[in-house]
Amino acid sequence: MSEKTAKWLRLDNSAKIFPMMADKQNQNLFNIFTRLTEDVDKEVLQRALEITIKRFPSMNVMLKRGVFWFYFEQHGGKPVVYDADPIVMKKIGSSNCGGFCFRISCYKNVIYADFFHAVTDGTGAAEFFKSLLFTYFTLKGYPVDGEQKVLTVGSPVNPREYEDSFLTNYKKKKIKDLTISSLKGKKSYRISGIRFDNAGKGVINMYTPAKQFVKVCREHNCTVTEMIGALFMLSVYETKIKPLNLPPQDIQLFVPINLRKIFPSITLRNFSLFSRIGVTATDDMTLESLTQLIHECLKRDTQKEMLSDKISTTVYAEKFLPMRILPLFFKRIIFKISNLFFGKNKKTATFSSVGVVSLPDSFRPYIKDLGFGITANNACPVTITAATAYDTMCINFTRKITDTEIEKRFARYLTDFGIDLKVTSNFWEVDEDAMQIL
Amino acid sequence: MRCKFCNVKVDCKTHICPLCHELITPEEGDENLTPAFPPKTEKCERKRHTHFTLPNIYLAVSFVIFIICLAVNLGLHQPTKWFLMVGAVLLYGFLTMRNTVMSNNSAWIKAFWQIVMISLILWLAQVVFDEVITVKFWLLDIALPIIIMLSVLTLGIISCAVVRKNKALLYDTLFLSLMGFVPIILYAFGLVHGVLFSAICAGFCAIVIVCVIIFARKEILEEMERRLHW
Repeated sequence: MSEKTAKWLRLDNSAKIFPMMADKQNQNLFNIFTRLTEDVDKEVLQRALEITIKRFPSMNVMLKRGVFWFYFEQHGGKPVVYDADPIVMKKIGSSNCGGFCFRISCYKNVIYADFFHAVTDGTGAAEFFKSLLFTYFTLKGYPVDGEQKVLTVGSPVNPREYEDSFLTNYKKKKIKDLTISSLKGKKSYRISGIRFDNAGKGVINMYTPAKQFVKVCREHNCTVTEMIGALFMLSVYETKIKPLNLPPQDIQLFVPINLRKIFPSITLRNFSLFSRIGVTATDDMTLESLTQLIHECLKRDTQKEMLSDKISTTVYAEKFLPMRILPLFFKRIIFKISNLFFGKNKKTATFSSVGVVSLPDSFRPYIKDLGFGITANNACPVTITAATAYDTMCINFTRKITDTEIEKRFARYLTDFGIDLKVTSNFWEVDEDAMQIL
Repeated sequence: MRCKFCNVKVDCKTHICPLCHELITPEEGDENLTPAFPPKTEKCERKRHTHFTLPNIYLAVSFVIFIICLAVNLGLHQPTKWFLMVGAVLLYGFLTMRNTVMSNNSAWIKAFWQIVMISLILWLAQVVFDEVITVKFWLLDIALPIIIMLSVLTLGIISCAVVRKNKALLYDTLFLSLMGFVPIILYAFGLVHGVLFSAICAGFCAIVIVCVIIFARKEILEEMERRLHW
């Protein structure tokens, strides 16, 4: 890491927006969690974290407020392993995470890693998490090997790991050539339901054998992402729109796209854009038509030219002179007002398909399963994430509403296909007293 | 455990299905299941509903004090409305707690608001005790320059004391020192009538700025680069 970047880092293009949108209740967070085969040794995990963080300079930072933009300053302290909070993905603040933009916590045999999206995206977080697990297992004395799938503590830090890949892949264009319309969304159905009256969120994880799921996808001639997206859209329609006899509504899924697969980048910071997948929900919708639609949308939105245009547009917005010279205070006001009027109601849910998390085979005896989750908020009360580790796929639902109808319908689809499902929940919707009685 | 209604296996310690909330019965071999999530705790519930925070308690006590002072002041038909000063000081205490003590703002922003708040209190004192205070224009002529100098001096001493740990405070001192020129600017516009204290304040702050630049030029440039990057 060079002398200059050792002390502070600019936020990457995508990250700039997250601190501006954060408020007392909402913050763009996501988490990775893994269930180990035995209980977590918190002291060893603490040591592992202290060692691992040194390998990830882009994580070892604290968010600071500049005159024009937020920035990251190198953190001088040590991160702490916390006891997991019953409130899933609780807001990360300076008071409860020691100034870091992530939080590692554990409960019994589960390790949780919560990340503020400003510091990294799913890919970067997965790399950090794998490295943390590797160090933890090593300290525990387990015979593990990185198998070139883990950024081990001793490996050299490549400066490209903390570059802003948006800037490196940015092609200067004239404003008339920019595809601003591709970033706009249209009004869509917002999932209704009784919101939790506290900061908590309901979480349901569905674990399924990956091979079984892939087999079903092959039978339907689609990919895992297409299948999950289509089933989710159908579930939303059948549980939330159809029973209420609502007029035709647009269901829009917000699907992050990992740009590292398309552009040459090894950055551990944010490098993803999104695709909007929308359909007008009617009785004519079928699984086949939806998988076909998602296929076409993803194909369209993952074309290099298209993405290059989107990168140019977002970077242009950042480099736009009036935007640059506007003090941060006013920028935040403008972003919040524009989000209030134009940002909400533009998506029904966020669906992130992380794919296969490449873990070394030597971890297999110690890891039961692994999953991802994205925070839900009032604007987007349900999120869905799918990740596969070894032979198990984890489909995570995080929600801000009490009812579990969408999840129930989704599970019914999977079991009807003959897929074995294991389900866990934090039962946030169930009254604690009722749980005791039961 | 298996939910016969949803046809799924429930993989956590519970008696109800996570999806349909119907009762489920444990099967053989389920004893080893561990909870996948930390349970809701009473402490967590209580925390969410507590209103007994320090600012709230302070606010309640202040309100009582203010009402008593108001009643005494008006009840005794005293000509000076000193209850306003009591209210202002209590409000100052509350704002200091929220925006200075419990805030994450930069030191110079905290100091700036302190200067503004103290100046407003002094202005109110000038209005309330108009008949008692015989010196005219004392607020802008004397009090404001002194407050700024004291603020810069305090922040300067603190930043010197912790310079090894927190170099950012030097930048805050530099920024706050720029406020030292406010009284002399006000004098130029005819809002301040006596030049003495304004000139002393400007001179003092100029010396502080020069000292900071001489002794910590590198740190200041670094700090400015990161804070002013655009």
